[in-house]
Amino acid sequence: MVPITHFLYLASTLFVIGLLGVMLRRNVLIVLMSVELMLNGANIALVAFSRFHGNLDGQVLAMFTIAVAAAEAAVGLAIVVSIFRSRTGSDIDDLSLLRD
Amino acid sequence: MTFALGPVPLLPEPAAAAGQATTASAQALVDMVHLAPMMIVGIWSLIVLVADAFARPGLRRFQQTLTLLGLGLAVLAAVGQFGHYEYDGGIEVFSGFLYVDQFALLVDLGILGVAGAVVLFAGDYNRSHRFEYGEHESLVLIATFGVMILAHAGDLVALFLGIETMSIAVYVMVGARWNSRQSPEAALKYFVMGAFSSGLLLMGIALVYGATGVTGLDQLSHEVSTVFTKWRAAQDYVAVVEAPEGFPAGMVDMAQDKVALGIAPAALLIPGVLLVLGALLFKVSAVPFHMWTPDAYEGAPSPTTAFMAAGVKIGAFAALLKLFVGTFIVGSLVQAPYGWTSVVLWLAAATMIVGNLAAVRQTNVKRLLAYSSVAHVGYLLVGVVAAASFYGDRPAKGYLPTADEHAWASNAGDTAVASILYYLLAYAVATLGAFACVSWLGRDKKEASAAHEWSGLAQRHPGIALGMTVCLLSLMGMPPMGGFFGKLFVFRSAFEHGSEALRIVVVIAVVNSVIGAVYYLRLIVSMYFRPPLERDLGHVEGRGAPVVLAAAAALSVLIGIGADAMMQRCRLASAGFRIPPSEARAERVDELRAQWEQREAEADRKAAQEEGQQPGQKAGQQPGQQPDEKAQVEVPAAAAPSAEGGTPPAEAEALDDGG
Repeated sequence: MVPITHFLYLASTLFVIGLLGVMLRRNVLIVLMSVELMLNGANIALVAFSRFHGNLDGQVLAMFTIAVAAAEAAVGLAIVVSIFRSRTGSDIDDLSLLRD
Repeated sequence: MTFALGPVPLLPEPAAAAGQATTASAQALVDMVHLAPMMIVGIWSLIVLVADAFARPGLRRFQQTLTLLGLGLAVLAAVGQFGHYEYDGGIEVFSGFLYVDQFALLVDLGILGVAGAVVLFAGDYNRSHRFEYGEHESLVLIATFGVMILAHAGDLVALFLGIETMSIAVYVMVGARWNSRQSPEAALKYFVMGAFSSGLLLMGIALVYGATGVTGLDQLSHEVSTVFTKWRAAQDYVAVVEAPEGFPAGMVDMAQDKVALGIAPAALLIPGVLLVLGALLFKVSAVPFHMWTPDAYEGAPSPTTAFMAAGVKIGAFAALLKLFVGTFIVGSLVQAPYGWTSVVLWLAAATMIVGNLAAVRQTNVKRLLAYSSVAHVGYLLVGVVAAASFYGDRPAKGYLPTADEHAWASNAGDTAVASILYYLLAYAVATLGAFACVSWLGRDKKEASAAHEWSGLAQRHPGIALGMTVCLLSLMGMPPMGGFFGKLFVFRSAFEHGSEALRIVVVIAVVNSVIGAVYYLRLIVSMYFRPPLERDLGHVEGRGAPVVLAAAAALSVLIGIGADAMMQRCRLASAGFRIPPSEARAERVDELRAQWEQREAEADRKAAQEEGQQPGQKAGQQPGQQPDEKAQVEVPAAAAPSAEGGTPPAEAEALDDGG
């Protein structure tokens, strides 16, 4: 039997890697992947808690999250493509048309 | 801790399942009828999408009319439901996944009005700026559907799905303007921040679920207090674990178990609640998380900005109220040292200060309105903190509050929630009008949103300038307008709570309203007292935006003049608001209705007496006449459509006649 703490370590590690990735990396695609990591870290936690509590609520939410993450990735990549049409490079710091 | 649990029953026993199947599907049908407004919007978004596949470029207006028809149907359904006795106590549908209560129905009406207004003027705008696309109406409906899920949510799963449904549709709308370089940039900024905040939200939900083992809001509100009871019970054993010398080994082991089991849920719950709070503050754009707001608002097409400023804000505040005013109402979680109100209160103060100070130095009207919306979020958050503090007041140690005090606190909390709803609706109406005006000016891919381009607007378009002025004055908080009464109600609620910090923040808020006047008045002065530009910047063809602007200005005044009647509706919505749905809720609404009936009967009696003193003919029948119950139900229902931004069906007809 693997204790629940191990799952939580994995989940929180993934989540924190994703969090830092969004905040520190400047490449748009890596930022998008980091968001996915955050969502999947949360998914692992949900499934582990679901098993721990012996009900299915967490697993149901994890299934929904997978669908939502797919939709989000589709929209996110579409936005990135539409930006690439008008400029080259994928550095998030180059996006400076809108600023104070 | 190991997985020492038995197998989870996935399916009911076959014999039982056969009997249940028919009743379950019948129940699902009944539930769908209760959810009629939401179902209509959801189905209509698909119908409109399919209709678009067969639409020829010349038939875009048909698309708009079809959408308005669907929204009109949904408004009719919601008007029929809002104020009906059946929903006083809140009804659980789909096994508690969603609730139908007065609160959700009022929010439904608000968001349907916002969607109708946006659909009315978005088509003209898109056509004039040459990026017409057929999916727009469908996206508006999907986002509206998401907001409605938020309003009805009875489960954390529903809440997450509602936020995502709303956000994903809006990301697309923000980036849809392909002939502008700003639009995709705004979309990316909004998307990255939005996706980041949904990651936080999901992790928060996972931790809350881990701490309590449930996701339903009504169970959660119960389980959350259990977590703290367990936590307190474990405190006695902490001493044993910390200094095990002198205790028998068996007792130390037991104490360790007790401490682990007692403290673990609280250790998961508090970070979880904070993560969820952070994610929702992102969505409402409160201060440390507001960076995306001006960029996204400026770069997005103006009608989409209008939807974000009015609709998304309504949805996010509905979620915030549901979770933090309705569910996580435990003294330990609300108040210091572990509570969230102390943090959010100062965030609210920071939000209005930052929003107002940044708005003062903006030269772009869209950015100015974006920062002003940040400031409004600050005022609203004061109301949220006040409501939560009323509900979650923890009495001092060794003091048991009397029944009267308890009733007073819930009553005051209800009023605070009603004030927030009133403020939200008044703000949504005014901001919709303002953005309708912004979208109307400028043509052919060039928006006239720089502040200097607005100078002398009143000479060129006096009607538009007048409407815009009324909306700006409402946002500023000028007395006859709705915005003033919204501020008055929210600040009064906050002031009524005895806490010193809240009073200080109310004073800060009042000072901020004065700072806010600077930039609203500057815009008005520039419209009226500066010479117009040499070159006419032109405006969007079509009557959608002027109609919405006129309706918004009229409603801003109406909401202000009829503040009492409007507040009564909000009060009805908030009386039945608190989760879980229970008999007590219905009783509270009944009490309110009885009060109103009494007041109305008294007013009737007085009127009759006055008539009697003058040459009175009807004086005889009025006194002592009980207003019958049916009329009581019909009154809020009939007046409700005027209570939110723009009534789509009537305006749709007006537009069709024009085109």
